[in-house]
Amino acid sequence: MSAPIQVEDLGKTYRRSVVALRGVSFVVPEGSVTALLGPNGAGKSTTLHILLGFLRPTRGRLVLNGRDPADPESRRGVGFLPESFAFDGFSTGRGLLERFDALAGHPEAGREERVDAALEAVGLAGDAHRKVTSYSKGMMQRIGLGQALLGDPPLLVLDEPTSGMDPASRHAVKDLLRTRRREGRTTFLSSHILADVQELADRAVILREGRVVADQPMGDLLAGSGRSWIEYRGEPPVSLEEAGFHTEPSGDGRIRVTGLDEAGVQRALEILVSRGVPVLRIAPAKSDLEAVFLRLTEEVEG
Amino acid sequence: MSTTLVRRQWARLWGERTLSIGLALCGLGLVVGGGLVAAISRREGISPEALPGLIWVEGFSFYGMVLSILAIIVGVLQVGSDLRRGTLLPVLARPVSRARVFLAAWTGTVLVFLALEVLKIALGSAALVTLGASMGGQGYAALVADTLGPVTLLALFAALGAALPVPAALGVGLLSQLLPGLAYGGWPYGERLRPICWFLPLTNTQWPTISSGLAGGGDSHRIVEAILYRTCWIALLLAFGCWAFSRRDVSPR
Repeated sequence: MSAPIQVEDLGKTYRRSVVALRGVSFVVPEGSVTALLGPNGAGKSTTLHILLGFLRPTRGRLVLNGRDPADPESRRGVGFLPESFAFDGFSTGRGLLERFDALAGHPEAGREERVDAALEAVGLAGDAHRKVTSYSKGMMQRIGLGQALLGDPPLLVLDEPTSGMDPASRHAVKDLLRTRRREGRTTFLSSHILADVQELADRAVILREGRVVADQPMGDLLAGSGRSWIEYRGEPPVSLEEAGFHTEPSGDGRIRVTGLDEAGVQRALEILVSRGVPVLRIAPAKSDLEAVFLRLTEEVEG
Repeated sequence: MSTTLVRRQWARLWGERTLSIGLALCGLGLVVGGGLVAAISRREGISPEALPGLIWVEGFSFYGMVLSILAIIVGVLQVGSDLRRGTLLPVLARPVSRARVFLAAWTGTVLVFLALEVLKIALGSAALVTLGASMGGQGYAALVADTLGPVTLLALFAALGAALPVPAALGVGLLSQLLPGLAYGGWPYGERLRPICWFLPLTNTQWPTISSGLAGGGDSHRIVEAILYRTCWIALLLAFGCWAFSRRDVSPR
């Protein structure tokens, strides 16, 4: 399978020696939804901006659609939604999309249909005649997504796509990205809304201080990430704490043993049952990207 | 694609107050100039031979000054305001080269300037015909050279604005235009600055040649030289602007 985005040993140092990227390497496979994650200042936007040719890397290489991002042709067939952007205030929603359709190099024939499709996709067909300056923050985000979706590009690059959107719009965007994945189109997105990412992405690249700390399929990344807990009533058996289990009161005389992996559940249950303590509930492990993210991005460098 | 970018520049210029105010001042300049010419010719009884000079040099002086200031402001903000507002990133994310974006924006502005110049020349020519005077080819050549003045300024400030942040571009551009005043204006260290002036696009040093051409006199070779000088500088500055803009980091940090 080919890769529309290939990043090799990418480095970027801004003026005054501010290092944003320190040798980042990863690949975005074709047809995947790949998420680029990281805390603020980790280098996500810098990576995306090098990808789109806004910034020049200090070292390393980035290949977009088989070309150097400095070549405008590399951006043919790419839809991009920046995190912070503005549109020309003199445009209506429709006028704006018509202009971006022309700038995308699409033929004039079929422009109206492409613009209509993009407006429908982001739910702005009814507001297309309004000036973009009269749009709310959520509507601006949606028209931004609309211009990225023009012509249904094979590669979509989204920087915080659901930022500022209401729950219904967020749901619609997620549906849209799922449809694209089913159709084998590639999406590369950066987002702080990890629940959305966990739901949508099939691969994640996590950055921390300009370095890649994880680059894995989502399933592998989440494997073993969840923690179970057991709830019981009564005095905690001393042997439970001696065995290194963490307990905390959960109200109404109940106690919870938390942070258990599969083996931990087995051992804690053995101790409780052998002491005749009544077990009330066992909560199964749930995969949690947030926990993985926090663990990977908060770990002290060793 | 380029037509789309030129039309975008027109819409930007129209949407920005700088141009509306500038156009209003240009209109005022034309009215004031017309009034000035009418008043002087009525009071002093100007001969038909002296009329071209009066109309083109005196009559349009305020208009010319406004157009030059407009060229500086619009030029320096051509890339800068687009970057500051965040409207440039979605455009540059499309398969369009930065050189094309820069040149299309510049062309859009120049077409507005040329439309104003055509209006100026039409009004001046109509005044000449009405007052029974005429102008030779040399005068029209001087008009072309004169028209290239604000176009050169626009290229200079647009190129600097594409390469540098707006305050730095404005400072460097203004310094380049004020330096000859220091170099040749009797300042004690002026002589040391003169070699630097050879490498600067100076728009005011050809003015004596152009104004005598407009008045019906002057040396035709010098006028052609002024046209070539300005044209070459415009081409060089645009090439520099394209190069510098293509290499510049445009992402907000």
